[in-house]
Amino acid sequence: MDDHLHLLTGAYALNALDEDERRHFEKSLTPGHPVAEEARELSQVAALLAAGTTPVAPPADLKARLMAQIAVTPQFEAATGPAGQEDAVQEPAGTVPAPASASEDTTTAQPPPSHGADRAAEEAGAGSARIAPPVTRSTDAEVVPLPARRASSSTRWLAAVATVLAVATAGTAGWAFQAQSQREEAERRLAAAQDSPAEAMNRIIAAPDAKLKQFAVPGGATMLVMHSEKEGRGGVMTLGMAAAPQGKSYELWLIDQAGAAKPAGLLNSGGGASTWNELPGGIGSASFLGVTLEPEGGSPQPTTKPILVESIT
Amino acid sequence: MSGHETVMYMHPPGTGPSAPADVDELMALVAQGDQSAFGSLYDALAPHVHGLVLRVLRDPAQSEEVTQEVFLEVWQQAKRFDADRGRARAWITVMAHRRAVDRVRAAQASQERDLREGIKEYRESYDDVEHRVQVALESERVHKAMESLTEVQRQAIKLAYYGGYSYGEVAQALDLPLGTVKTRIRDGMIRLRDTLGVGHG
Repeated sequence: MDDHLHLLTGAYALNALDEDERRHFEKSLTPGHPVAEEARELSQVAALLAAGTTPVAPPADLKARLMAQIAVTPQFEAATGPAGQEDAVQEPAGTVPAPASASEDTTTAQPPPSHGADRAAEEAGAGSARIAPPVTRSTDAEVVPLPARRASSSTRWLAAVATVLAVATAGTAGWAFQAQSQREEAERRLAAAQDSPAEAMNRIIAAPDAKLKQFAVPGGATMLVMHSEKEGRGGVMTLGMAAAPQGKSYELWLIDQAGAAKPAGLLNSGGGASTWNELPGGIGSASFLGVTLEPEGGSPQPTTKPILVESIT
Repeated sequence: MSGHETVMYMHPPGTGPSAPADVDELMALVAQGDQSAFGSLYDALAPHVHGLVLRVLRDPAQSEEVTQEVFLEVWQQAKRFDADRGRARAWITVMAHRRAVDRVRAAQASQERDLREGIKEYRESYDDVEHRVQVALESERVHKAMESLTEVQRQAIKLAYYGGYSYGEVAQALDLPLGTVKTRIRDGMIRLRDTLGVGHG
């Protein structure tokens, strides 16, 4: 530890170091070392300074939003993850990425029901192997540029998902009452599936070129499509999708500009909860994502009018 | 850390004067994934967290976002919180302050706002806040402790903590050499530590 490092304990406690200095300072600390102890104590003093501010109640709906968020946000395990150096002063783990408010903002607005699907369906016709993409680019959903800053965050998509979940099931009486069982089911599924989909989504969303789009599926469900060209990965998540009728499956299609549809997997069983499908290799040259109802097990080419066709680029 | 009765939330669990709303007990439940305990924890601490964030950021919309981030992080990090090393309230406060400062710095960087202008504005807005603060019972002790500092120490600490300025910016604003500000801040914080009775390790 260099000699003048101890002079920084006060500034450190006040968060008055710039990011590089802070990182350097934290890295240089040895737990139990007098400088680390001083930094810890002075951090506690700094926490007391908060008492010098006037408490202000946050807007009332913030709590509802948070309760929805935590319902689908897994907790970090005590022993895992990027703890380590912060332990020296019992700081909140500074390396844990922030939930990106940018993605929350853009997913908060509930998109209007999709019109692109109907239009495409009319043009395509049942039994056709080609699905004509909507002529104009869909305006129902925004491409959400995901900031590369502090990437690799599970909180980011989970926050987005939670917001979507809250919005998608919102009603005049409040989502909490209306959609309790649906939400709980989604939670269970998300928690159970935490490792694989969450990690897959993290990888996708953490990519600097990641794109995330949100669509309203006719019938009230919500679909999130995310992909990264750089990573060559993509995935589709649905929330609140009704189960396919007996003997049928929802099939995903990647559709190019010319309208050629490539099978992209069967929607993992729905039923009012969430589903996750990875798009191996990403979206490739596709410009649109479509969903059709097919005989159980799926078809090599679409055989029914698509439920949804949306631009995903 | 030991029984200085003045430091409410710095006591080891169970030894201090009744901690408000048993934040530490709630925190233990939150660490077990108890969502309703999280709701209660939020009720107990949200005004405190939001007040601090608002003080640093001063922008209501951004403050709301940061308060949300802080509580989401509390939920995620709950299992990693080490109750033996400090009280939950202090932990959350530190987290909130750091997030608020990070945000204010990001905003500054993007706006490239004039630092001196910013500090002037900050000082002007500070006065009426300070007046209200003085009335608050909990803050009285902190305020008194701040009074015991030298003018430079107090200015530097206030600008850094409540204004979210880096010590480099503080040095610029107060027209003092970097090294001086560094040491004044540290001396002032040590003085506060002793006045406020935060235990020596």
